[in-house]
Amino acid sequence: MALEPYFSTRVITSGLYYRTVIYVEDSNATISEILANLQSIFSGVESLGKAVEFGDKVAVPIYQFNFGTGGGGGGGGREGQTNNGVAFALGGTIGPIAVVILEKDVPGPGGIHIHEFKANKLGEALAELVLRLWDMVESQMSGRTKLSAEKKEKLMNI
Amino acid sequence: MDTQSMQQKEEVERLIKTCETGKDSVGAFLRSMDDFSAVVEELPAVVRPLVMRDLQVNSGMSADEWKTFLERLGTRYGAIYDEARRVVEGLNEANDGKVADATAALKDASAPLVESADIAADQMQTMEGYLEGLPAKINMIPDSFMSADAREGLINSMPGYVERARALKELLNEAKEVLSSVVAG
Repeated sequence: MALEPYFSTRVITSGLYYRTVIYVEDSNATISEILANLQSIFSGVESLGKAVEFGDKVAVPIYQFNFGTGGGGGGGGREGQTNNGVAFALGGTIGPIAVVILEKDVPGPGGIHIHEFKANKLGEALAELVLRLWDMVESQMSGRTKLSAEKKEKLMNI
Repeated sequence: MDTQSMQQKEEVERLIKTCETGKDSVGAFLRSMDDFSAVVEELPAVVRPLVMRDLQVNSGMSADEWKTFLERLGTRYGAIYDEARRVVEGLNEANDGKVADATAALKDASAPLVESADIAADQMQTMEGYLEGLPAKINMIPDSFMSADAREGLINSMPGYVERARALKELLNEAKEVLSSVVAG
């Protein structure tokens, strides 16, 4: 099944580097389908690492990208001749920053554990990512309280 | 004042009292939600959206939606209260025309509440259940995610929440019952 990717890029400037967190939207797929699709979507990006299921838990490592770019240009040459030079370089590093442990049978925040490998300022971005993961897990559970749009409309106009 | 008018007046006065209590209870619950939101705002960035999301997912509405609903409910109680007072004034003055006009206005003012009281009561029941389980849920959050002090602060920020939610639910049921009697009569 197709999982519509929802890309959101949060850029946190750190010198010349950018840190990007990419996450995906919720879906009604089963957890294994979602994880399989995540792997497919992110196979070339690897912001989410390979999810590992063990018993009632799923572990998803999260990677941080540090991109650096550089460019340069040159002009001049012998009289009457064009001689321009342009250079561009892209460099970056990828490192694991955290692992998210999802407990399939525990609804709510108690079922989500984040273990950061080092202190960093990605807390807010991580939270957004976890919310997406949480949605995926909760979509598989029956504990979610749904209020129909019609009922909500009535409450908003009571 | 004849017996029928006396009975009508008693019912309307009961309605007035229910609306007064309803307005106060809605105001108290709104203040509780504001206090809770203020404490949540102080939580670490990782935890803050999770707490708000948990409220939305498990109570059926976001904090902003709850606030909108409760403000509307308070306003509705106020509108019903005003019209009910006019009915009582008409009854005291033995002014049948004023009673009829005020009763019609009361019917109009109360229609949205009568129509949605059951949904609102169910929603308050959901909130009551959510709030009952919230302290235990907060205590399940591991230290690496939220410090013990932050957990304690969050739990302590909501004394009497469950009782207030229950009171609002019971008042909605009572208001619907009294209104059915008053408006039908």
